[in-house]
Amino acid sequence: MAEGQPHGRGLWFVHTGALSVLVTGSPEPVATILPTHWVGEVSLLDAGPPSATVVTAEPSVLLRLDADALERVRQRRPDVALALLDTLSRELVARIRATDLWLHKQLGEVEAEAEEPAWWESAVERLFGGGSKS
Amino acid sequence: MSIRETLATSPHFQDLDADELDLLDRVMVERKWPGGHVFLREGDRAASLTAAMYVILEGEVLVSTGKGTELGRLGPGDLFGHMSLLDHGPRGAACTSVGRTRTAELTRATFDELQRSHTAVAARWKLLVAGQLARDLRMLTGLVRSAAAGDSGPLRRRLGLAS
Repeated sequence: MAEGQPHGRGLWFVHTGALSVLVTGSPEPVATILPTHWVGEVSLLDAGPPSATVVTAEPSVLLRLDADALERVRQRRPDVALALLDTLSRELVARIRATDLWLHKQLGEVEAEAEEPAWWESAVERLFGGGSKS
Repeated sequence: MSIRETLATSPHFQDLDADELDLLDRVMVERKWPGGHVFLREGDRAASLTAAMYVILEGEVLVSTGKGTELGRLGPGDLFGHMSLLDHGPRGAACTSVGRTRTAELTRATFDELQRSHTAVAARWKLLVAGQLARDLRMLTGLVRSAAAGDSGPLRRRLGLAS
């Protein structure tokens, strides 16, 4: 998937291999996605364009879930859809809380004094790190 | 507007069909609030029995930090309280009615019952809530992006501070 481009929308689950997450303005990958983790749940759920570019770091086997497939799962196996959405929602809530906290802290620093840009790297990794359970 | 009309016309709930709207209209509870009612206090933990998410039917709800910095305002058809219902964590922000407000309330207990009795509808609801979460995260991501690019203006404006 490519940042800002509708192509590749949906959730990509890493079965084997590894993915690199790239964002505009950072020459190095901001995150690596390993087996059992995933990327793309935000564009799956809000139908917006991907917010990062993701490429394979090595030969990989990926499982893709797009919005149509999720709707078919919901109709045929609503219990499975519920469990899946529960996992994705909890992950989103955790990332929203982490980002919100970071933004508040950052704002305090911005108010006090102009900051060096190093702080944002860990935040971007947390944002675009996909479904990492750490 | 009624619960059913509000859900049917809100862009956040546009995928609900007639049966699903009827069911939600039955299980959600309409409540009226005076101005200044604090629905959620920042840092509060959602007690399992009283936790609820709300859809605004009429009026306006102010979202703010614990220190009173305005984060945004919500109106009819908007959803709040959905985060702590999912992870049992502390409330992320305070939500207060601006004037007289009417809400439709979906408690955790009701939603748990819905998951057992009407699994497909519960899955639809959770999909809509997850869509809201994804939009929330995308908005925050935008703020981080602009701050990372050296422009804290959008973040400061978002928090109601002078640039």
